Amino acid sequence: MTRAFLACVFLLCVGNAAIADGYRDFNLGAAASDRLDHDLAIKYLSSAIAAPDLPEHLRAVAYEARAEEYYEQQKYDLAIADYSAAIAAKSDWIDPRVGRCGAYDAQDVLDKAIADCTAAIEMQPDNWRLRLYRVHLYYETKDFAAIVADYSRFIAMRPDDGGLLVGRANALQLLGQFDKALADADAAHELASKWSGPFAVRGRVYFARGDFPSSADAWDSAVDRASGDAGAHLAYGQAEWAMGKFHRASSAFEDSLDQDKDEHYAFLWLFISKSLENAKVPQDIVAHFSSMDLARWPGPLVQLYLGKTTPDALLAMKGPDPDTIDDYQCSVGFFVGEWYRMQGNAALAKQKLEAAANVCTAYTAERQYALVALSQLPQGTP
Amino acid sequence: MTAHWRIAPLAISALLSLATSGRAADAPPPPVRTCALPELASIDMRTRSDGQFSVPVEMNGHPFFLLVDTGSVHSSMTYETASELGVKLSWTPYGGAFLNNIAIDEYTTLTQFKLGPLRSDEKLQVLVIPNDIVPASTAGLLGPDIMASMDVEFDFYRGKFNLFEHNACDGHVVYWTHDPYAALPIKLDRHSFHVDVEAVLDGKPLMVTFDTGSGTSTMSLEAARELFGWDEKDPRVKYVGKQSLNGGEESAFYTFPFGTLSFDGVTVSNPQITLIPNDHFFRERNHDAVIILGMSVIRQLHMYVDYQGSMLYLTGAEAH
Repeated sequence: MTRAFLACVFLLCVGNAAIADGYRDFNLGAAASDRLDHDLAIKYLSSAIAAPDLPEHLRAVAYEARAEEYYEQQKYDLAIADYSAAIAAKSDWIDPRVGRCGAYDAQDVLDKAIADCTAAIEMQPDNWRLRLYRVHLYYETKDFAAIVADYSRFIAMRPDDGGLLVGRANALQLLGQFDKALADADAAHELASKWSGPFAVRGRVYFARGDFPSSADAWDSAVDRASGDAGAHLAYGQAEWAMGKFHRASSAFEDSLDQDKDEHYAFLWLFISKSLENAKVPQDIVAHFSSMDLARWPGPLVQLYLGKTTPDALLAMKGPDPDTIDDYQCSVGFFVGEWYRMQGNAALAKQKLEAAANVCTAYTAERQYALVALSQLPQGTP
Repeated sequence: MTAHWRIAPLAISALLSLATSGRAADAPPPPVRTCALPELASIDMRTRSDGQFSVPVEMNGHPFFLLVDTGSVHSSMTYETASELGVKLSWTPYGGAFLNNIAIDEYTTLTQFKLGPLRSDEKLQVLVIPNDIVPASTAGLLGPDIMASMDVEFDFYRGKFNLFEHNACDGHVVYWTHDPYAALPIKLDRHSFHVDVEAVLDGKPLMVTFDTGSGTSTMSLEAARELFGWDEKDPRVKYVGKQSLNGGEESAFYTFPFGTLSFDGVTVSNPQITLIPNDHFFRERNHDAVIILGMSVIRQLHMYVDYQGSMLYLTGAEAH
């Protein structure tokens, strides 16, 4: 009775023809899904899956549809189980592979996410969206060689796309292949001379190499081309800081905050550079960050500089993402080390900065920050 | 939700002439028919979790899936797909817009197109659309510019997208059942080939567009108010929330407890029709249809579209 009633309430009543339970429930599930009513969609799709009269070509679809609903509800285990059932029922269907890749990614099970994404790419070798998604996964696992390989394939398909060259250059830099990275940046610049991207690559590469004047020049050019880019101002200031030009660095960090008043890292760097030039951060900037919700990363770093937490509390915090634990320790180590330097405790500053340099990913600017800060400590610091 | 519809035709000739290359080896045997209904292809639908479906095609020799979209005007590919194929893009002022005013202003030319066993090596111009209009595993939209050169049967229950040469059945094309069926004249716009038919919603006659490219069924809130004389504060019009449409601006969504939507004896009870402000429906209306009927309702039907005869035939999805 209930089923017959529902069929007429929601769906088409054509004469007195009975509608098979499975097909009707599948359609009710799809309609509920379209209205973003996840619970109702799961209810009907579960009924459809259980119905023996569901047309066989829709069984995998029903599993996949229910997986999507579980995914929306962040019930990733259930989503993975349903995606797996859909794959088992229809092994050449790409959608559940892509879905399961995303669910594994959400669970930080990156090896399985990459395996599914790779299987999906084998089904659609030229699907850029999938390949770019896998690049994102490779970044999380720091598999920079794989990123270079994927970008090389993109570039072979579209050699006149400067964005792809810059994408590969960034990965090459993280592999320490600086000359190749610069060559890609040069090629990208040839294609789009007004674009800041190639200069950003050069700025990062020169910084990672320890060639700070060239890095500053490159970032200056990037800023010329993208004056509204808070990140470019920030990176320019970091290059000036590395050369000991703290006043210029402070100006750049303030420029960064002018573009994005909530840029946490610009505030932290401004705090550092102002301290090194024996000046104070403007009160309005301090007041703005003091009024912000600083619970989420990198807010706790700002809390430290505002005196709202301690280095020990910060170091004891769990990182925002278990897969980036090294990056987290690198970042915390650097900013805690600089905090100790501002407090005049060179010994503890050195200890924390050395720890940071040891865990930072090789060839990154972040590792250079720690090395530069160590070099700026008074000679003879124990 | 991927409801979409274009309002202006592309000023380029893009009708595809499909050359039959024979039935696919794995195609099922043709069903028994009462008149000459030469089948060109019987293609397995790839049904999506939202009820829409796509079909396998080849474009310039590369395999893709296109979402079948009776609500568009021209077939299209995403920018991403255009990049994959390395095709050159050209500007057009006639691309029109998708629901929610998503403008289309570029097209490209394919040198080869294959739909199931049907292949054409003639040049085919297709629009280029934002990636977010279609799901990630779908390369674009199969529009009426290609379908309208044939008769098209949508058998959702059995998962078949069947293509026929134009029938010579004099209105007797419903071969799959002896049950009663609806035969509806399509108010054909030769520029769009939209499947616009007359319907009756809660006693009010209106035009409905059958849009397989849309998940939901949508109606302009202002048009509904005008048609039914609703007061602005009518408590039956309920605000549901806001949602991005076709990757564009967010639109407010409303519901109303409609009673029936009827097509020549075929009746949908309590049709789920979402109401959206006219600004997000179509700013520049140049057609009469006030409801875009999406797959949430269409999937309950077995449809046969006779484009050349300007007729739409309907039965229940499971009729046999």
